[in-house]
Amino acid sequence: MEWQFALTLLLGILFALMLVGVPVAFAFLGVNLIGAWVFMGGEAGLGQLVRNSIQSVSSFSLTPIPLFILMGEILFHSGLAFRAINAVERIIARVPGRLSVVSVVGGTVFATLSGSTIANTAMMGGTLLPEMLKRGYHPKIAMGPIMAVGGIAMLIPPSALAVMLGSLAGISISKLLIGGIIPGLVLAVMFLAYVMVRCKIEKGLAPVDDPSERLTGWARWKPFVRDVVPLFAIFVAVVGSMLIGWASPTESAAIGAVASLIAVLCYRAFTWESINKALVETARISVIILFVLIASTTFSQLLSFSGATTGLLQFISDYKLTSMELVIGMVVILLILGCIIDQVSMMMITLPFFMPLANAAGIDPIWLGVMLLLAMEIGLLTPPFGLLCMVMQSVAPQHIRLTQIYGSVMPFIVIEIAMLAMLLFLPWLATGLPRLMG
Amino acid sequence: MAAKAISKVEDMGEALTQKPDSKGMRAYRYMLLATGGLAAAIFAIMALLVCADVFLRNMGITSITWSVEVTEYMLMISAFLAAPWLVYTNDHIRVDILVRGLTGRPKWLFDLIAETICLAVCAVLAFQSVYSMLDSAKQGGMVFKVLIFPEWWLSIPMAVAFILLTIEFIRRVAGSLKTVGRVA
Repeated sequence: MEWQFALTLLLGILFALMLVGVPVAFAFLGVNLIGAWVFMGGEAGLGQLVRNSIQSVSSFSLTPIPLFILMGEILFHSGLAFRAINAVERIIARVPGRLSVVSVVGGTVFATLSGSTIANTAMMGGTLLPEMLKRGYHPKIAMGPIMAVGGIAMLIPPSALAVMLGSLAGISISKLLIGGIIPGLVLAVMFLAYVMVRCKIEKGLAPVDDPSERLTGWARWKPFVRDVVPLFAIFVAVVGSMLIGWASPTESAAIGAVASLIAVLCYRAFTWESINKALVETARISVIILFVLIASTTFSQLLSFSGATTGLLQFISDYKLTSMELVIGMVVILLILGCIIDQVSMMMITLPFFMPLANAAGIDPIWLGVMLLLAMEIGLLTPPFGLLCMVMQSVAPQHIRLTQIYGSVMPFIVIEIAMLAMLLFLPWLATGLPRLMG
Repeated sequence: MAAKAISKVEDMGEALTQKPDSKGMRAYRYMLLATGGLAAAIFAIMALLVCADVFLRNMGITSITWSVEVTEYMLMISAFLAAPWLVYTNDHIRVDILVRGLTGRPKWLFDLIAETICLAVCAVLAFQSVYSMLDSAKQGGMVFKVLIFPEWWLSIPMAVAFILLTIEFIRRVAGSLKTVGRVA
């Protein structure tokens, strides 16, 4: 059977099912049933599909997905994250668009403590957005930075999706996590610069703060020292335990989750209700991701089994593309897919093609992994299927329209694409720190 | 305590599609909510177990040799068992760019088509997973890792999950068909 037919059949059915409103996981399962029957020998193929599904998530390397999410959810629902944001707000003064700056700095701080982009955006949107709108911030400068910085949680460790990418693509998870730190921080600085310059130029976007409200001296710094600085111990526990070899990336996620719980106890913020909520939200987000993974594992194998992977790889190889052209092609494909499907599906559809191509071309896997993560992070923001735009819609006041949300995030998408270009030409931004690990 | 935990799960469940109107429906709802609660509890135990292993190992006290294997099973069990709960609460990811703007009869029709496809997929997989489980039990294969147990045990979560998913989609399709006359 021609590989073009197999590829068209599998991808065609998948996208058709998704478009009529079948949930992503069930769309994968549906195409798997048809594909297993056609390409894997009828009933025997269906049996294989069941075994694949069970094995797909029985993997220790996937354990950080719920655990990194749990870290963020514990800090979010216990109120510690809110206290940290308030403390950050106190120390930032005399800057244009002050609360937007607070959202970027606070969101970056929270990204070092949370592996969930959804928790990040929901937390920042729920706390800062109402206050910003009340004080007269224009929605586009109030919402855009919150969503953009929410995505940074995908780059800066802990990151559930980075773990998944590393696991599925066969890239060192610890190096991929460490590789995301510098690009994440550079991105945060670019967001900050944009917010301040934009608010400086366009005066109507953000109100000028009342100088009488400004705090000085210890009153200004005390909440930061009390509520933020100790929380960095959690980040140190996660990254440090990995770096000194005490724990694998998988195990460091568990250390992070327990460290978050210890922090909550130390701050006397522990309540059964908040822990219940954190655990239930963790279950919800994790199972959504893991079930798509269960459903899509066989899909990747079908692409291979049907000859679609080999055929397409051969077709691309015939063009004798350079490494740079290949990477640009991969990133563009992810940017397009990011507009219409979720990140887990993107990985499962593209990695069977991307990784063999990258390996054959000798592309640095850490560099490529960070580039792919950033491209997928942009997919969290791009309409019409920008997951973080939907999260923002769910926490924003009723009068905010979805088109306003899309509009507010556009400048940040441009900044992230600029960051992608920087990474393309300056690979050491991603590979520098992992090389130090040896 | 259990009831309180379930109510928390329900609080977070947001868009429950239908209020229970009978004891059977209420029991069904609690069962699905309990699967979500079970997944949440499993993740908590997983964090504590892995952390305890790292601590004990690095202190040179002992190593919990079965922790990796048990963690893998925990991940698989929670992913399968909580999936029906997420269908019940409408939380599975949907790419609704085409159907988002629809209302009335077209929306009803697309919803019915999507639910029917899901029902068909889940029914086939429920049958296939039960068949595979029974086949595996008949062959009598064993898992020999740190823990030793019959291989068919590993098929139970998937079989249970797809049976529950099939029931949930039957409920949804039936619910949609009931409203056919009321859709403009």
